[in-house]
Amino acid sequence: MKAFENGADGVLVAGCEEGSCHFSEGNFLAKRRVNYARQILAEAGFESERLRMVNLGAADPGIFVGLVEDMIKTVRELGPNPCKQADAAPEAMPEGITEQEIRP
Amino acid sequence: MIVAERKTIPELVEILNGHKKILVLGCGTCVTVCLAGGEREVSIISSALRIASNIRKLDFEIEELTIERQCDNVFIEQATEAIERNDVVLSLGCGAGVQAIAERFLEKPVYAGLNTEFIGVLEERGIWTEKCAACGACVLHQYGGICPITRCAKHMLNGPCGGSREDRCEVRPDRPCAWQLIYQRLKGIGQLDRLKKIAPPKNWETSLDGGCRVIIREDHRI
Repeated sequence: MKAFENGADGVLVAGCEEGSCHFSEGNFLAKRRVNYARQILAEAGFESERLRMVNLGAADPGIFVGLVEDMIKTVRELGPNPCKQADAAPEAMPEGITEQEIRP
Repeated sequence: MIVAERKTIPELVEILNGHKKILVLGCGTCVTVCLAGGEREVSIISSALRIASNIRKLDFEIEELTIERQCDNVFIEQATEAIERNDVVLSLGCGAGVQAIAERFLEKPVYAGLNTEFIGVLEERGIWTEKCAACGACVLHQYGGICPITRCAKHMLNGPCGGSREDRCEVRPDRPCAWQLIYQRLKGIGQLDRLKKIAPPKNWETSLDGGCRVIIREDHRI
């Protein structure tokens, strides 16, 4: 919530692969909390698609890259955080992470 | 404990619309335990209100504060400065807390951010159930510790009604029949004889029907 309040265009929460979390059911609880945050964001008139939780193993860089790329695509389609637009003069959509930066 | 639920963000925005400096005031007691109005919820609701304000250009300036207990003047005093430097208070306390704040700050609008629901318990993680209607004349000793006024949808003192299906309430099939529970409990503690006694109609004057209630303890007055 604070990240969006401060202008983040998207937040991707990455949890452990389901069933292999060190904290047993911690990743399932986290997903519920993220869903609750999405609900509150939607109530506030904010695109809840900007917040997403994914689950993957620590040794799955290929999957991670795909999930990040998909998140970037979603955020690009949505445009800048509307809070940022309201606070400051409109600016161009940040380019985000380059393909080279996210390559495993 | 008192159990409450938050109002939705659109409801809060409508309540607060037109105000600028807003204090979101949490309470560290019952509503913290039921995850409705503690420090964490103050932070979440404040963030949501700031986001809504930014999007709709409502110009909210939100300050956050949580005190130990909103229904107690000793703790309310700790919020005095914050209340005075804001235009309005959005209380995340129960109905008693909201009114305690409003009575102390006569010039300040104080709004309820929660819907106060009932006196209840945490049944299991994330589930709260109603247990007490605060009727003012407790009959729990007669019913094996299970309140027929609160937990029977028909508030029957001489049940069961005959409408239950298996052990479920016919009004709320997702809830157990209170009279089934009373029977099992009294049987378990060897007090089934209590059910042979017909309870007279309840005097509701001890409840809200007798007007707003006051308790005076002369031994504690100064």
